[in-house]
Amino acid sequence: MPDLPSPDASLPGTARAQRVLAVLPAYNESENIAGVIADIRENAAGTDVLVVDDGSRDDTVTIARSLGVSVLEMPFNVGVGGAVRAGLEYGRRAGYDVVLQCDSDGQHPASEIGALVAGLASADVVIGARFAGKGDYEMRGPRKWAASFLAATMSRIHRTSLTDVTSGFRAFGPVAIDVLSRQMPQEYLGDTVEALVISRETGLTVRQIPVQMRERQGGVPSHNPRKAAIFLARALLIFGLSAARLVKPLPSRAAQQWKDGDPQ
Amino acid sequence: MTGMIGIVVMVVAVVVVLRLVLQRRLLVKYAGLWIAVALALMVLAVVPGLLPGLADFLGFEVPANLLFSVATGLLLAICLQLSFEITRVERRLYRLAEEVALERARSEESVAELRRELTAKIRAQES
Repeated sequence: MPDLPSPDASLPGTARAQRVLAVLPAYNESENIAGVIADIRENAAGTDVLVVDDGSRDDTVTIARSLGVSVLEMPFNVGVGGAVRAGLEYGRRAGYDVVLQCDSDGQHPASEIGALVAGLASADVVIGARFAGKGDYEMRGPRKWAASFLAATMSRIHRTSLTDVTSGFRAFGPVAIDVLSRQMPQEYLGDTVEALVISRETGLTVRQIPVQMRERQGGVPSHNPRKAAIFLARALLIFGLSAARLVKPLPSRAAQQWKDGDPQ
Repeated sequence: MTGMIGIVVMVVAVVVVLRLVLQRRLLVKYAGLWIAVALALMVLAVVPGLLPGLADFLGFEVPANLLFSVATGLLLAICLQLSFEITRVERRLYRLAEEVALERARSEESVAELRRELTAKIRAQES
């Protein structure tokens, strides 16, 4: 399989510049995508951009192409996990050292990209977490308990403090790119909790750094209460099953499949 | 007791399903109904008097019949879920086939156009 042509942007002034790709999964983000790309070009210069269009029905792709960034057009909606996985595989084939995941709705400031990339010096995956206590919405009751429970257990299995388990602002180093380009789950919101469990199983180190985030700039978020409830139920189930495995290890195919090179 | 055997079989099936989910060979959404089946049957079997009482109330002659009816109903639901998912997969597969065909055409047309442009440039230089 021939490699993709190498993009020519690289950070100036260094002998062997680190090549960084920002993957922007986008679903109907024609309002926000131009702003996000401009933000990256201004505040994280030298970062290549790949917009992964997840079956948008609006002008997201046209706008992205007109700005001269690379675009992957999924033939139908595959979800954030599938979109990010495609972006990771693109990054892997083109030989990027770092792949970032950023939301296309403007919530993730490009000024924080430097901090995320710097964090990869000591981890395979760096998660940008909202400052603890500074949420943009209040969670109450069962959702809050479930989210806290998830954060606590993810923190325990990775032996580091993880408070923002569902953050889509992440940096992946070369090993993580290699693993997750094949293993990133595509189910709805499986790209967060399950991805963390897979990271643990395949021996990736995960760290969190606090980042400033903005409110969503425009358009409609792709969440609704029913989906959120389903997510939490699934997350608890997956987590419950994983905890059982962590207590009494079951042979996992995830790590074996990675070694064998099987796609998920 | 035939009821007990049925429950043991269900428990084994659920353990197998959970193992497959943990090994990531089964998506969680498929495990959901299997777990629901197991829970329903185990509740009926474990809570004393629930099965005979409910069976009597619903008009079953033998309590075991209620157990089997519940299991059958849930298994039908699982079949329906699978049919639904297969429909979805088939649609997406056909969509992918179209994309492959379109990509091939696009590649070939691009190559043909490049060839034409190259030939034209060479001719222009020679003349």
